[in-house]
Amino acid sequence: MLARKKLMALAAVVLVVSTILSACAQPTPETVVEEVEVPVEVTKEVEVEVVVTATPVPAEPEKVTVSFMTMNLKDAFGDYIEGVIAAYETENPNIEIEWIDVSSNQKEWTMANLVAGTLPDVFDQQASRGLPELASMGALVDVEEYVTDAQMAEYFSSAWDGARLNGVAYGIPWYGGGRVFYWNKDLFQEAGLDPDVPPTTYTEALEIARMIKERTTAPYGYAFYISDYLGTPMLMSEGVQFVDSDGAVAVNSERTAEVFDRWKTAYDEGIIPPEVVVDYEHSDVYADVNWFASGQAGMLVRTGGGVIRNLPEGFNVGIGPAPEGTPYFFHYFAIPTQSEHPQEAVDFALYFTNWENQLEFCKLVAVMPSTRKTAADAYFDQEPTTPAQEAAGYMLSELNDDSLVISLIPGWGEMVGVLKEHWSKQMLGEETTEQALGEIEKAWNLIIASQ
Amino acid sequence: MIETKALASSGIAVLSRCLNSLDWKGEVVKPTMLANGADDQHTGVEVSPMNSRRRQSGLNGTIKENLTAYAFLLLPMAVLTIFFFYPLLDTFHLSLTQFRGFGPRVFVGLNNYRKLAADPTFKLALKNTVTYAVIVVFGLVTFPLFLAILTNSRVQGTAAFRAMYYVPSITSMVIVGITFTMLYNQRGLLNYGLSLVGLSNFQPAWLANPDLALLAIMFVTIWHAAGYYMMIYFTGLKGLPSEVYEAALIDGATRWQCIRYLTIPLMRPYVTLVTVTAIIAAMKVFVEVKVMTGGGPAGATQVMNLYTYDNAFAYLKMGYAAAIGVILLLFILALSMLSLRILERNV
Repeated sequence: MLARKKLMALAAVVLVVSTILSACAQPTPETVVEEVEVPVEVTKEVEVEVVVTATPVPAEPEKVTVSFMTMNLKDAFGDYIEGVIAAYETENPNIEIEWIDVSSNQKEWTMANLVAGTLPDVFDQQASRGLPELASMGALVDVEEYVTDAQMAEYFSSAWDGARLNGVAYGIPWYGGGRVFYWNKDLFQEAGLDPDVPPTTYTEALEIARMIKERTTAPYGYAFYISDYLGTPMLMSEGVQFVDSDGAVAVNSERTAEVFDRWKTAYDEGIIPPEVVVDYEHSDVYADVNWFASGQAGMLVRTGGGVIRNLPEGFNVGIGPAPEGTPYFFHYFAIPTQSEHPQEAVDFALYFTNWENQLEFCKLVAVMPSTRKTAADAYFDQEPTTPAQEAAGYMLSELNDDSLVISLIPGWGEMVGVLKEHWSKQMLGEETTEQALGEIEKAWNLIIASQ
Repeated sequence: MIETKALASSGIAVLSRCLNSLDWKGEVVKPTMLANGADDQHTGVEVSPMNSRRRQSGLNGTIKENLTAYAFLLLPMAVLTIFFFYPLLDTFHLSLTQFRGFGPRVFVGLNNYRKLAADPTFKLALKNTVTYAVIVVFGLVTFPLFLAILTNSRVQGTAAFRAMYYVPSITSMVIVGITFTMLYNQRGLLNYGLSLVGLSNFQPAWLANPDLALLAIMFVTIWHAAGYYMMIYFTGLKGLPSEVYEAALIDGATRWQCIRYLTIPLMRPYVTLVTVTAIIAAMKVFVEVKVMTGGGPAGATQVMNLYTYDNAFAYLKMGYAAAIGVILLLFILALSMLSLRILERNV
């Protein structure tokens, strides 16, 4: 009986163990055969497909993605840009636009992406910031290879030529800006001056600034600090030539010496703030606007929005054309040689900057258009209703094919550093005007030779 | 599958056999020496055949342990190689080339270093950096120690002061820089404060004056970092033995004598730590200068890191920038080692 029980228990154990083992076992040859049978079924499906392909289906064109970069515009103009992109994609169903908006310091961003080979097909750059370096490195496409003469003729030639280097155009011009003269009418009146008559030259402006300092409570007459943003256009307006038409350094001239001397005298007399030698470009960029808005200085030259936004309510501001005319700067859409779709990229850039799209943009913000038809639109004939529109009106009145435009100079990033250093030394009295200009010329020659 | 497992295990077995011939220090142990019971060269203990066998099995365990340790070290080592050693070596290589960030690197030998030797801006940047480092390091070694001793007292409310002193170090240097730029304006709050205390005739334009601009930036660095170093000192002070102070007090020592003859000598390891950390940070100063002056006025605040940055990203002279980086690295290394040696000798 016991032996039978033992036998039964053993049998049960064997059964359990064998069940477990069979569960863990490798697939049997039978299973493999079944798996092998599957391709036979697939073969049948293929036969069906052959019947279907007998009726040809029109092949869809390959979709092209064009990446597109703008600079710090998403928050304020996101809807406008997305609208233009959507309209373009509707007209061109085979193209998809991938938009990215980067914040400031775009030069570092551009360089990092260039090295990584990830530059967008169309990207926004200012003429003096990065574009010359990229162009001289051979990293940009010659856009004129992809545009017709008729397309090119839609833009002001001054704007188009602003992205030209050694005869090659490296960008399609978009929007731009110029300079406007702002003055404090109350301080003009306090100084015994006609508040409705602004100066027409920088010499006059500094004369008036001297009177404001002497006759009013304002400690300074004119708000300014040495920087690429404020100093470069001012020197250009004053008739300073940085390089000649052959690309040779031309800065060490009598005209530059005259301009340097005039500003040095203004610095010594305290007509301009002592902080004129501080580079505020990475901190208090609106330092000059703050001096003006707080009544510490009677006038300044700047572009549109920044000044008006920062003025306190009730500020009696006068707006007029910049003394001795304004130079313009433009934003350009450049196409990298890394791009796999340069033709599509250029087409999109032309569409984005066409006269209608630029007009819509100008209605949103007081910027300068680069196309003739936009500038000639009746919209700009209307009486300005805001100070920003008034400022834009003065800037637009001087825009034409011969306007002074900040254009490409290879090595400008380094050149402007040298200019700021020696101009500051001259202001502080560490170098004479002659020495400063000599040093600038020497350093610029080396920089240009190394490009 | 089974074959793969077998291959892997045989591979490990081969590797183990190879490693079995290594002792724990990674040195080759001669099998004959162990088998013959010869003196163990490494321990000086006679090894009998029995000991040899025991040691062999112990050795296997050690090797397995080592293998596990190396396996764990492999990932961090790979990360370090990719993100530290490779960039470091590449910087040396880059410094011997001309490279604009795009296109080929042209080998120019020591040209970049020769140019540096003749570059007046580089010399100015070097001088400014060393001047800045000397003063800032002195300030950051002494002032935070003073703050830590003050806030270490048992007076109620000192914790609040400690927190207040620490707050600047967790504030963004960019924000601090912009704020101080405004404060330093000739018609700013600082000069207004000076006029209130009778210094109406002393109203400098701090950042526009080449003699004061670097000093003004140094103050901002010390103000910003003092709280951080104070916390390091404070941790040290908490660890000091109270018995020594009790004995000194019994002997009639004054509070000042306790600080002078007990606290400061006992805190020397922390002083060493702070000195070396502060030297490294000061030599690499960048944000405050970039934000507040951009190296001006007239180059008065030009420093090495800013000049490296400008050359790399504004002028696109990557090779030249790398050469400045290498010089900066060597300077930091030399200064850190020097200060470590001086301070450790006195610990």
